[in-house]
Amino acid sequence: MSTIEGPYILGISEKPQAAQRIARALDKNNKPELNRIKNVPVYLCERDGIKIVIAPALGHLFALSSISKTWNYPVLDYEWRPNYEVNKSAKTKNFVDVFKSLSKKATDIIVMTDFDREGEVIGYLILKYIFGKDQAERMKFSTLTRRDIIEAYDNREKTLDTGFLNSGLIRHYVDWLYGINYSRALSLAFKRVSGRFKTISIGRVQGPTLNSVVELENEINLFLPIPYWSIESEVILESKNFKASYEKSRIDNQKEASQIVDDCKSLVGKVKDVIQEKKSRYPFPPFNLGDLQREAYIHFKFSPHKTLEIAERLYLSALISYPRTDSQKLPMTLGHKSILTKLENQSDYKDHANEIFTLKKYKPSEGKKTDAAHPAIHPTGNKPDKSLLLGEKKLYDLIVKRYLSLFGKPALLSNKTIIIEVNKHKFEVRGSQIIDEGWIKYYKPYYSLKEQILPEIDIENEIKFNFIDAKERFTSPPYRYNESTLLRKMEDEKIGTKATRAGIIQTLFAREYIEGSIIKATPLGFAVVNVLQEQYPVLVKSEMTRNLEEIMENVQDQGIDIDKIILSIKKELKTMLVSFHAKELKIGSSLYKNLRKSEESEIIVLGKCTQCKKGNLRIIKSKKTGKRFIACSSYFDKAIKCGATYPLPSTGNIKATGQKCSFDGLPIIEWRKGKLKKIMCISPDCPSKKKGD
Amino acid sequence: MKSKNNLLCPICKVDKKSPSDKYCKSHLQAKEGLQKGYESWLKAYSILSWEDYLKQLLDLGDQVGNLIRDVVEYEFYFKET
Repeated sequence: MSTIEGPYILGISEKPQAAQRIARALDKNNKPELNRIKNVPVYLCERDGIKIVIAPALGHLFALSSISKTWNYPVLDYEWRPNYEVNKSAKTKNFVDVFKSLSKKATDIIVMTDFDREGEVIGYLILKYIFGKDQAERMKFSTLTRRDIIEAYDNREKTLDTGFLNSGLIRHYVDWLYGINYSRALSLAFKRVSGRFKTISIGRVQGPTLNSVVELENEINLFLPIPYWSIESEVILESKNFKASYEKSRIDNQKEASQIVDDCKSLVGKVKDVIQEKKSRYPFPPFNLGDLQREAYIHFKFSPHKTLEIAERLYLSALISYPRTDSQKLPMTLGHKSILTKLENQSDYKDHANEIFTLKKYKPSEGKKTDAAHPAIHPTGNKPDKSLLLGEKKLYDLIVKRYLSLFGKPALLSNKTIIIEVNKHKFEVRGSQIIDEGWIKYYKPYYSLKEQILPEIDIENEIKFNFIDAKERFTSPPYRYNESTLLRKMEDEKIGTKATRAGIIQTLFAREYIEGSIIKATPLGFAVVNVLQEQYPVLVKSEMTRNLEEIMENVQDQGIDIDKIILSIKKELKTMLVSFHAKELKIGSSLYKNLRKSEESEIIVLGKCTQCKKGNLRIIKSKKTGKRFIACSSYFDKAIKCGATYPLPSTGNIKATGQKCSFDGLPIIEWRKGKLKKIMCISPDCPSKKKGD
Repeated sequence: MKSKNNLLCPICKVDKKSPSDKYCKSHLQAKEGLQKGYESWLKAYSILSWEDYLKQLLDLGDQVGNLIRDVVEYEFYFKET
């Protein structure tokens, strides 16, 4: 199939765009030859008189699959099979064929995938199942810039990274084992009781994440506001009004609050002290993935998943470094002077980069977190060579400005507090003046300071208040999660990894366990968590997942034998599944009850069926077509099997009105779409429609 | 019929844990919270009847959690004599 003449070194890249970048950087003329084999772009380049062929994968080309074909549990034996055989929608067959064909003339192999767990696993599986090898040389890079790629090629390792590989493989095995076994166990428990099949899936990270959403919702449902009072006041300083804060922010008793107001009814106080102090504010740490996802949510409302996708594209365009990193470190070896010089050529950043050059401070501020493989996210300095999409532009700007801010001086503020006493009650007026904006100037508009300049006031001066009042307030319920705060919760609970957390939240949305930008658990999500909390809490508590995470981290750090660990995990899982099996009937009936309740709460009942006179007419959504229609609930009753159905408009909102049609006695519904509204009988043949009523 | 009703929560018609319970598990938990909250409200206002407490909670509307609101509405409008 391949017409490229050998011998050559074969490079395995993770994605087509990365293959192109690497080939361009390695080719002596920066113009590699593009060969399309089975529509897969394969690049031929020459370097130091050696032919290098670089072919891309399309992410994972292999996936885990059960050896046994029965649909039961426990399933403890698996094998790696081509992704296109396991996942019918995967379009990876051509990529596998191309690697097979190219393998024949390859003298050496270099793995050029992203340097992380997944990259190592992608490369290893191609080596093992296509080339029949266990090892190959490895290029390690954090950006797709020419400089980094050439350096990675010249200093390539002789072998794959065992720590990353083992930790990546064990994650695949563990996630697969837990996912398949518990999804099957739950689905079968439900089937055993209900007689019908419904996929109820849960994973080892999804369970505790969903549980966090449900627990917060329960807390909100049980929230009881408690009254308290705050003292609000306003003073006049040099004929200007300023808000003054009372010494206690919260008064728990109405009498005490009234007493304070009464004590201060003269509305005249004396300045007791003026405290002035200079404060430095230091830059925020460099971006790791979690911080970038949070900041992008705050400023652009990008979901963590969207931020990762965009960051990935910016990385593939060699505009930023590898985004899947925990690091808040930016070592000097990255060549900051050179990055800043390049940023000077971009009009949006020219002035700030220039100013940093005059400061001659080339060591950026850093945070505490580290990552063994990659530095913090930073721009490469490369100028975007095509006009970026709006989202890409926004995220790129955020990353560049954060990076520039790290070279700025600390911001310097002068804070002033005037303490006023009214009949032994203390009030404070706080002001702040910016002396030097420092790094904040480079990070605008993503951070700014508000100034409040207070006039010069002498101690013992008499001060008049406009008012001193007690305001009744009530405590507020906790905020629901959004995607950004849920991600933070997962980080705090130490469940999932930087690379997987955003995807897990998306899976919970896709499985309809959660909904909304202010996240709420759906009735289905509630049902699944309620059952598991009651019958099998290990699946929704964080402990098990956190322990597994620790074991898997140790594999990476300490090079422990993974076969032994997998064996012990399988043993433990088997014991847990045996205990699940013993409770299967209980779990099944509890699931059935809860799911029925959740389904009922989603079903809109319009009224009694006029055909069988027993069932209810309900709005149903077809699982096959996704279209809605009205059907009688007695359809499932074997004795009646009422087949009454009525069509519905495919779009717009439908509400029951509780009224009956005067012509045929069928329910009348209200249909709304935008400003349009129609009240109508559900029957298309209703005489009222013919009359144009 | 009467005995069947005794097994269901009067608010949500979900099974009660035992017939002697007043509500289902969730609404019992809400009632417990409501009672605890009364102590805090009493401390805050010094004088406050249970009825006034419930009425004030009704006035707070959405600020009160759904389960607590269910119990407040039930106890306020269907006061047992």
